[in-house]
Amino acid sequence: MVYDWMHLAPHMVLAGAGIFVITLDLVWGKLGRALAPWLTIAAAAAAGALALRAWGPGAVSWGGALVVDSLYVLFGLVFSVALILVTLLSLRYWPLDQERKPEYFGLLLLVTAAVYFMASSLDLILIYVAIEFSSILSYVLAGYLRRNPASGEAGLKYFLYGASASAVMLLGFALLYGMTGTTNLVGISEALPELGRSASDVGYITLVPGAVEIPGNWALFLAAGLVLVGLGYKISAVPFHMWAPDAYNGAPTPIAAFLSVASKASGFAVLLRFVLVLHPNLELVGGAWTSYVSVLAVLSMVIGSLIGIVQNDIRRLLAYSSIAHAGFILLGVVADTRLGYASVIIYLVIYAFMNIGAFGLASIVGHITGGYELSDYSGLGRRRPILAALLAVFLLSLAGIPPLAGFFAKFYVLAAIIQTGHYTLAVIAILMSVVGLFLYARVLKAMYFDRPEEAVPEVRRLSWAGAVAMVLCFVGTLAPGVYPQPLVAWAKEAIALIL
Amino acid sequence: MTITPAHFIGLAFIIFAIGFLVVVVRKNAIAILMGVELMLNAVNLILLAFNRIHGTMELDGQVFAIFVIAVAAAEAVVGLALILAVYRSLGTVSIDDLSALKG
Repeated sequence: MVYDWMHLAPHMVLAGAGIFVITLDLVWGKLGRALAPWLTIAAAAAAGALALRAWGPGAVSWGGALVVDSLYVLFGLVFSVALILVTLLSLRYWPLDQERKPEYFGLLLLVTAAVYFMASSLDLILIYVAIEFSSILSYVLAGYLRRNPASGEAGLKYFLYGASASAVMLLGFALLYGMTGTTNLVGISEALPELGRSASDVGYITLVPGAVEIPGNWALFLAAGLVLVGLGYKISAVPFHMWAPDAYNGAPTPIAAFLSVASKASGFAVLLRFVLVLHPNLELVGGAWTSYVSVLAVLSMVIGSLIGIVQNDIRRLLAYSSIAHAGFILLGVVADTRLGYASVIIYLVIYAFMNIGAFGLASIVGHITGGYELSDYSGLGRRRPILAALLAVFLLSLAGIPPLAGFFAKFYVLAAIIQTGHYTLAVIAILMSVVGLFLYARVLKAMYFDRPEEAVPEVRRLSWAGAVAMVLCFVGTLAPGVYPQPLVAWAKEAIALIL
Repeated sequence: MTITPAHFIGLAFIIFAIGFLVVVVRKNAIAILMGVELMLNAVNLILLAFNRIHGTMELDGQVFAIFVIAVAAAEAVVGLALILAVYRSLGTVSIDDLSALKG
């Protein structure tokens, strides 16, 4: 057995920095408050840089529980970027000024450590603990504003939904362990052909020798379905999406930005890990598994886009938009080709910048005007032309307008599913992009064509840290759109190395 | 009649179903939390029974159950803290009354 501490270095840096920030706040409050955000940014950058060393076909250590490969590197970079941007956004976000801020940054660091673990674990036990680690801390962060009842309500709803979904997922893990006798994904993958033969030749899968025999593939379907409930909740895919609008609405808006990107990406990291490790033997289980994923994808795109249209709170609107995007990203998994999996990664990287940009501007405008309703955005184009233009760029990118990066994200997903002959799915995806355009256009109309009924006062000043974060998001949204080749090459190489 | 792992698994599925029903039916946040705990402990029972079936030389199932117990404890702590925070601000823990966030 190999115990390689270097493989754990990014996780340790993040978790260590998180605990250090919280402890420093306790023993030397003034220094803790001054240093916490900068330590957070430094740790995020260090973790990303350390993770880069792992680029390659994959090294397994820690008794087969931990794997570091190119897939983990790209997801790690998404998490680090999200943490840095969200830290900058949180720096002057006014509702946080009334709470303990160093703890907030410490918790953010620990969530990031947890999602790093999610992207690099290869064992059901570690996957479960990592998912719960990140979920439990996310509940705390969503309910962080003790003076705001909406925040507590968001945290509680998120908690009740997440705890139930992960308990269901745990039953799926237990069934997988029961059928295969191992918790290691590689071991499970090796045991699948035997189970498949048993199901097709003997006609049943033995759960308990001599006592419980489940006919056909049903035991595997059940286990896979239960696991998909937990992952569907993490990526906020319909029908496991109900928590997202409430959680994003009540949570501190920078946390909503973090959850919509890092939490979703970590769910996809685990989903990709499952699919890619089990891939050689998935056909034995039932060749139609992609059609079940495609049901989730279609439901997410349709319901996310349609319900999003009638929302009047920008955070709820963006929550439904993020549900629709989960559907688009799932299409890459449905394609089940190298291009499909690469398109998932491309989409998530681009989505990280444009979605944190959109949520970040919701947070900044909320900071300046104190409001999150669409009516607070009326006339923003005249009052704050630069902020309005930035928000327009992020929303048009989310809608998939060329030459912005969001167009390429959608383009590669569509290319992957058209290549594999899923024409109906492609038509639905394009139709829902058009509906999505209408959703984002409502904000644009408010900003540029509506006149405010009464003057919207500016109660607080724009913070430089938020402005820096928005400029970074703008670059991240524009650069892959103008020059997408490096990102596409990395994503394709990452998948080619491991599949 | 001897008690076999199959009986434990049957019992565990019944407990899991009860826990799931509690989560779906009850409106009190603490009751829902109790339902989740039932589900988690049912899974623990399943894991231990499976471990028995696969032989006691490999302890994967038992180790998994210990981790689940630890996670369930952490979850209960955070859940009860959130319930307490909501009770302090709203004076209720019924999820029907949690309606500030709608749209």
